[in-house]
Amino acid sequence: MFEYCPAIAEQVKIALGDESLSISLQDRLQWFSCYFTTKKHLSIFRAAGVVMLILAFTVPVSLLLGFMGALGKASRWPIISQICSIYVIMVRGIPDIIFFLFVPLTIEIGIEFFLHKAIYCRDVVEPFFNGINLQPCPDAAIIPTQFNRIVLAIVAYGIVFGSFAANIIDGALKAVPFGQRETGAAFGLTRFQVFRDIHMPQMWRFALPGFSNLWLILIKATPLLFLLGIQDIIYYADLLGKVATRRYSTYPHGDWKLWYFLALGVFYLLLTMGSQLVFSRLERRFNQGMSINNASSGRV
Amino acid sequence: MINECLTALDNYALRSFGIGERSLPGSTNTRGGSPINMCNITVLIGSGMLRNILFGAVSLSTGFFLALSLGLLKARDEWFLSTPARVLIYTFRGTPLLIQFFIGYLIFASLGAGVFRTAAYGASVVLFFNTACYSAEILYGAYRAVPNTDLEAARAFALRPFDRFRDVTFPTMMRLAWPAYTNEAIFLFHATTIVFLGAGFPVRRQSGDALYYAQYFAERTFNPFIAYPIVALYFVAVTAVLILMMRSVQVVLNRHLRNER
Amino acid sequence: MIPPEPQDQPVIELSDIHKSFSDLHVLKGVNLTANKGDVVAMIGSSGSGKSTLLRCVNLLEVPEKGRIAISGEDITFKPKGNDRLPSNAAQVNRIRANLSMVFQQFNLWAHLTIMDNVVLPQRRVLKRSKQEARQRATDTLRRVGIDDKADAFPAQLSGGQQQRAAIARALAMDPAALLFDEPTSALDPELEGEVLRVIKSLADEDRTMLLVTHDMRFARDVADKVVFLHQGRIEEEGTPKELFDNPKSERLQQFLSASVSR
Repeated sequence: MFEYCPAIAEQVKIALGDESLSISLQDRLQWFSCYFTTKKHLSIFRAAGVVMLILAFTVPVSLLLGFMGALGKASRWPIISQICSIYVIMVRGIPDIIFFLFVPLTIEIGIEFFLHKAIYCRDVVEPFFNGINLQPCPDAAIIPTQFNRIVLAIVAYGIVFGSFAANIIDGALKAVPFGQRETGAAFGLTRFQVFRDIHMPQMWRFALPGFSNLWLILIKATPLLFLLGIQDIIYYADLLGKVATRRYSTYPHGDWKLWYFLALGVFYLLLTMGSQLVFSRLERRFNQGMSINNASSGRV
Repeated sequence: MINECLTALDNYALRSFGIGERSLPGSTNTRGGSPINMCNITVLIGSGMLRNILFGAVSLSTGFFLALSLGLLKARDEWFLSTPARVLIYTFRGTPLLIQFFIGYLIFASLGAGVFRTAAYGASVVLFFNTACYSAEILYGAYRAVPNTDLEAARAFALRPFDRFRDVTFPTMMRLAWPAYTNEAIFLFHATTIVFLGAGFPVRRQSGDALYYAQYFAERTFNPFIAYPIVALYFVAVTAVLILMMRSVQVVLNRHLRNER
Repeated sequence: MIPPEPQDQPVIELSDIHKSFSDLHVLKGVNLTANKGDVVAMIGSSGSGKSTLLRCVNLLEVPEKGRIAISGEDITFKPKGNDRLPSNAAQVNRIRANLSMVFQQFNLWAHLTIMDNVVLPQRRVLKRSKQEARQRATDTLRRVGIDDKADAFPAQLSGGQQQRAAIARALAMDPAALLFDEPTSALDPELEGEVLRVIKSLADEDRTMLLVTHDMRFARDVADKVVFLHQGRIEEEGTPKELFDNPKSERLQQFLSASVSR
């Protein structure tokens, strides 16, 4: 990265191999400035960006699914309301990680099944469903790219956190005092108007603490992206922290994994701290002029 | 069919603890092994489930005592008592469990701490601290929500501080904390699934938990539609039992209240 | 559908109203008529069905049996299971827009300022322009004496001010009749006066009003007609003078003596 890097790297490398040589503080600092700007290190920062990107896409997807789930629960069609009811409580009974593993694989297999049946393997005799085994013909088998994996992760996270969100929205919609809605009806507002002008705006206040909590859970679930084969910050921390020998590495060092993971811990701590600050401020704004109301009007 | 399942029970019921048939179903091991069938899948995942339950039960029951101490420490007025508790709670609640597992493993490894480098012990320690901190926050909130009037009444009857805590504060606090604590128990139990998914702790002799085996089958058969629903059903069932157990405690805690569950 | 001489039609006409909540038979065949300019006060002990009757008028409760006609227009019903529902949602909304209600708990919309509380139903239901709705809101808020609170949120107001704002919201709809459901029950005694004065001044304007109240003195003061409900039936009705000075039924006598001593 910097001009002095090759020289300083070489110098330190020699010093590490020769106990009689010592490394000055300035050299050490220079060495670190080079070490942290190697290509590999820059990719850990990019990985952090990818995590943020996944977060940014997951939020709208899960909000959308959350609303669909919570509103669908009240649907007139029993099938929809039953599916949505299950969706709303789904993550309370089943660990989220199961979905993170299940959903991407299911989508992958769905695509392969389509390719198998429709495009590549019409002449193949062996069936796709072979007892417990599923086997697409070799032409239909796909290996997801990093980009594919990221998209699959967003879908999986969206479904799981959509279920959490549906649970929160469902509760918040129920928390709006009935009198507030009834008054809308009493003035001749249509059901849709009551929903749009009264029920929804008042719902946010009750949903916000839940959403704040959910956002923190979402942040803390991002390391699991690693388990979905995404080269995220954990992947790189694991890679970069490994022992780097003098023979193979320009910047040799011992086992620094612990330091790398501690740094990740601090990264996440700062992220959650910052989020909490933002949310507590938001909550204060949302409650403005509303919080006292329930007490003063005697509404329970 | 029944025989098949009995064999599966024989071979794999305690496989997650390393007892039973060495090679997993469908393994390409030269010594052979049983084929992948529904019995084997169900039994082996159930065997893994025992480990999840053990993880959850051990860390939750031991963690409660640390949680109580931390929660009460955090509520103290003296800063040198409350600040350490506050920092510890904040750290564990503010960082992802997966990273806590990695750090825990790396610390145990660098200390050369024998059994704690294994998932069974090491991960339990991390889960213990993790749930203790989450529960401590719940108990702290409940402690602060204990109505002052209850305490005043106790003071008026000249109860000594310890008795006051044992007879008045603690029961009320537990009653207030219980619904949130139930949630914590559920999520902790769910969190035990990431121990064997590459959180640093090595898997020895393929002794894993429910999700480890489910993933094994899903990858081996390339079929997510059998193993994952089975593990999901196991979790739904155990979560339901857990909720029922916590509810029955809740009923005892609330027995003095009318018409409230 | 347009009645030949709307002036002669009663504004509110209920006949043989029955309403049950599961096993509880709350209204057992009630008839009630309010002509234009009438102020009808409904009194009775709690559980007598007076609030339920009021809520039947604008169909917040749907009676299983009986006829409801507002300004001569009959509400149509369709059967549903053992029950029935209004068959025409648009008709119900139109009628509700014409019968503004003031609730015991004020029910101002907590997320809106006082001004927006008064503006919202005008805009949505009467389709008034923003400007027109705001103008009308300013008028009615001035009328009840809280135009200076237009930009406050409900929670920042006292109970009396909130109830007056709720009255302004109802007035702004220019309804054929105003429905009051125990408008001062949730108020501290020292705040009742300001609300009662506003209602009294409205009554003096020859507005059609239906009023559920437990305040006998107030009922006597404002009402043209008083209706005494007991166990889901109208036990006695007449002018305030007749009912309060010369109650005929034993139950009303008991009720009045209990209320006075309070």
